[in-house]
Amino acid sequence: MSSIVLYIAGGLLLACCLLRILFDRESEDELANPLHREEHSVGSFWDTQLSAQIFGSEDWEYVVACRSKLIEREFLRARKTLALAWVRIAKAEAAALMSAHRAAARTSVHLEFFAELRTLLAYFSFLFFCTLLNLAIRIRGPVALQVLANLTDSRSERLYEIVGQIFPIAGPLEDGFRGMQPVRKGRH
Amino acid sequence: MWSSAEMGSNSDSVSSARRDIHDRTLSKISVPLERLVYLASLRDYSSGRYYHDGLAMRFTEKIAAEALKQEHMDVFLELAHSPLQSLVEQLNRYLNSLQEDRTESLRTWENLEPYRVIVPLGAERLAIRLFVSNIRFAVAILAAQQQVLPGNIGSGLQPQ
Repeated sequence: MSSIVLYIAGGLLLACCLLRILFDRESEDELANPLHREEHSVGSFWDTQLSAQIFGSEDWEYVVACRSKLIEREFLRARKTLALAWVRIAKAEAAALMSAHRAAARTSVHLEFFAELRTLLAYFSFLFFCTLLNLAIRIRGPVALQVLANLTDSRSERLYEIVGQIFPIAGPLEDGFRGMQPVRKGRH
Repeated sequence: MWSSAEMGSNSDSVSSARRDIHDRTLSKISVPLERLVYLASLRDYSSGRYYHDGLAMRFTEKIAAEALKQEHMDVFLELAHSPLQSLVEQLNRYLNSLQEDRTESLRTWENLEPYRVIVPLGAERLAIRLFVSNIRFAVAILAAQQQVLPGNIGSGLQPQ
């Protein structure tokens, strides 16, 4: 009987952890301005210099050299918040792209099954890397996760490429959608 | 707002205005952080518009404002992409260049956080957050190095 209770408690704890990861909200806004909390920073995700700084190790090595435990601890906490915000923005931008793609696909008469399947696979592959990155940030912190961040970035790039290839196929019905050709900016 | 017909000629004028402000003023300010503070000081806090009499006389008020806005954004992005060590060095040079007591300045930067108002309007939110976070750490690191705030080192880093 007690083992069943233990299993249930363990299950509940696990579920709570998963829910926390899945429905995570910003714990701290550096700007502390409630007006900006829900505003997505479109474009930040494509700024690779920014991601290199957030996930790189250069700043961390400098902080460690300063030899202050308080600064080290607070630095890791701040960078973790920023890294999680980066993942959230990446997901939000991809979700917006998919939503626009769905809207275009609904009105299109030129839908191709395999092209749509490719888009879906690219999207899920991107989401998989986002989840992986999210977990890695939570487990070991954001420092030196540049490789995983780059992989996530490359998945999103692939998604944008695929969606960009499909839009012209969709043709004239997407008149209202032409302005949304996915253009990635800030690539360095 | 400019009409699309005006855009072409105006963008040339804005480029000229940017060159002008760069050659006459900004190139003489060697520390990018100082440049950022200077450009932010040309902006009205309420309207967000930039004013520079000399530049407005040589071009127009609108073009001068646009040129300053673009310069402000460029300098900000340069700083947002700077490593923490570089920001610490720049802040150190900036504080040394002030005619104020360095300890007092450091304390003011830690408590009042004036760096929050020097970011340009329209900058990406994540870039702003990274910049603000880095400057906070730069202030804390300088305070720790100087030991100016015994028992209070890094208090500006505490969650708000």
